[in-house]
Amino acid sequence: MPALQRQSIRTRLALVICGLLLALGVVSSIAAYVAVRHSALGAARQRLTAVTEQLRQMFETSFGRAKLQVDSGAALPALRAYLASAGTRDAAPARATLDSLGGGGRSVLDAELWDTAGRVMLASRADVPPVPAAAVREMAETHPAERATFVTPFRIEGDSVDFAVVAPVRRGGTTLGYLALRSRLRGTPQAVRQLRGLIGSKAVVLLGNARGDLWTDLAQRAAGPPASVADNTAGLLEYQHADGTWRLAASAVLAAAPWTIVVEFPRGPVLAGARAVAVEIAAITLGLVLLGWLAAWFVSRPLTQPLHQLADAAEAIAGGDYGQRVEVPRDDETGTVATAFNRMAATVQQAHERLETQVNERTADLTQTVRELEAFSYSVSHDLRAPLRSIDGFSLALLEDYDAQLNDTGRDYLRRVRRATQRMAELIDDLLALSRITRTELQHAPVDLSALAEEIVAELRKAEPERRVEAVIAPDLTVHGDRRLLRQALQNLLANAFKFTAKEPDPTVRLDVTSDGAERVFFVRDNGVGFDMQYAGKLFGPFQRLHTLEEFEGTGIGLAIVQRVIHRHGGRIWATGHPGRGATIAFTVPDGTHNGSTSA
Amino acid sequence: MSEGVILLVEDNPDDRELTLRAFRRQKIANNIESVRDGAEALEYLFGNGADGAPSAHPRPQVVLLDLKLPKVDGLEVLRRIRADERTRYLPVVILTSSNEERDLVEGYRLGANSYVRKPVDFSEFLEAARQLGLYWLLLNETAPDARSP
Repeated sequence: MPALQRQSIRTRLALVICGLLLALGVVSSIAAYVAVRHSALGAARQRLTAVTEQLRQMFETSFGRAKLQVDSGAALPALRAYLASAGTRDAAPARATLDSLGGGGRSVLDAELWDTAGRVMLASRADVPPVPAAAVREMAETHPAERATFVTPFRIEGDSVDFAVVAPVRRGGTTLGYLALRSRLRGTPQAVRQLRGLIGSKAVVLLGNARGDLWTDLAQRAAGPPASVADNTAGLLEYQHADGTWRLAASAVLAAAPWTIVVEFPRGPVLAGARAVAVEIAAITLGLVLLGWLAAWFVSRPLTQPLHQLADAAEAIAGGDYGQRVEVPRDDETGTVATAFNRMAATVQQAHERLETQVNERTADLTQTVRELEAFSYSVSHDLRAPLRSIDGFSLALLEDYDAQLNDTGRDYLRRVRRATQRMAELIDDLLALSRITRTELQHAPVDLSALAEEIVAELRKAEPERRVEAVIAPDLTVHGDRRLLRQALQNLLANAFKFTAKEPDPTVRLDVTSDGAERVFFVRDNGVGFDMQYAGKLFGPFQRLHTLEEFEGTGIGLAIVQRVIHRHGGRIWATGHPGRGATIAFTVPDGTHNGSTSA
Repeated sequence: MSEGVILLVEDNPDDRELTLRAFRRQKIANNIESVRDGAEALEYLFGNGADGAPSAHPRPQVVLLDLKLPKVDGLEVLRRIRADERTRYLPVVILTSSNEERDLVEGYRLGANSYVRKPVDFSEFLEAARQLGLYWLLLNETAPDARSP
């Protein structure tokens, strides 16, 4: 059943209909076969019984006539006289009588006189081998009515089957001997044709003795029916012949002779009709099954069509076509489902549209905010700088042009004014740089960090030619990212490293990579002042500084910028260090295309 | 021509004064004419209005042009200078306090010859001005068609 449930409804419907048709076909085939077989066997029995009965009557009539003939022969005085003399009298009259009897019919072999012990006293023809005395005795003994005329059991000698019709020769109440007319049981071609015409060409007539252990087909010895069924003379016999084929037969016991007649018929031709009917019905069933399959296929089409439409529409909606609907052409269950589906689709569509509207509104808000932010940055860059420029410029003008009128305190104040304005300018620059990183669209490309670092180190050395800083940069550190932003991050990191190693006797700056299996971790390490790990979390905040301006200058924006660059690349960044033992800033830049969002 | 005029287009009086001072300190002998907005700059260069009347002023040797100006902004002035046959090759140096790259890129696209970011550190600016002076003024080099007989 699970296998069936995996099939489509159409297939299942077709299978069920075909299964029913098939079952119907099989049952009706069997029923028809049984019925036809039964009637065929019935007809065969009637015919066999009729034929057997006709044969029996033929034999009875023929034996009746033969008995009358022998009876009348046995009453002839010449024979009686010869037998009474026990063979001592002249045999000529008796022989003449026998000759006249023996030539009566073509099938008569011989006419003989037997004594009561069964010995042959006289025979009309010398060339016919005599029946052995024991056989005559046996023949005589088998017949209960000793004094009546009887027919002997047949004898088979080679290809000759013969029998005798025997009548007692009496004088008064005494039996003197017997007159026996021996005949050969052999059908003439004409008789065989007549018989065939009567019983059919495939039929066989068998004669058996009373014990059922000797059978002949009228020409020679033949295999008879098995003893077990031969006894059953009432009805139709059905048995397997010695040659393996099944036979149908009917039997009859003769009254005039100790013989049994059996008419045998091969079962195959009889049942062929029943088989043909069964085959025909099977063929019709097969046709019906095919028709049923086609019918089921076409009938189920309108049933499954709406289901397919529903599935297609659901697919379309899943694919983003929220306007998809199905037709509702009917009022049945599929119509109900379709209506419910359309209602659901409408709800989904509304929800989706509402969401889309909200997203659009939010995006518009965000775009507006970003635009305002840009305008603000531009103004800051322009307008905040202008007064600073004036303050600084005129302070310098005072220092240069009115030096004579100023004392040392005045000059010191003016220099402080100038330092403050320069620092403010730096702060403005860094703030703008920080906001620009957030706003810039990332341009992804392969970036050689090693080459960038070499460039930056060269610039840093140029800016401080008096310093000797050892820089160890691992070769071929390539990542995928925005070259400009990554350069800025590296610039800040390396500049920090240079700056914080200013008081070291042997300053060393290093850029390298380690791999922790899943990802590469880049790091910039110096042997400078380092930091206390309890402040590690504050390092990346804007304007967070761990040193006074007197120790190290700077705005505290540098690492915040680095962090934003790394985050926009989807990477992570962290710091480790010890006071007096240097600092390490580690970061990752994931491969693949991390699409930069506008958030930092 | 060694007495050529420098046209300074600058709206901020402090910046104007500091720029003039820088030139004075560099002992640049040229006359420096300053105008306060884009409209005045255009009038100085091209004369009055749409009648096409020629300018009453001598053609300057170089224009120092601030970008953020009232009325007509610096980029528009630059565009007009480059669009006119008479001033197509006039050297123009952009003065900017902006870090915005788009201003610089746009300036070069419209044909600026150089730019000087107005530094708050005035000594840096003096250095820039000095180099500018050396290049444009002290050597007295101008594009050929800017010379008049």
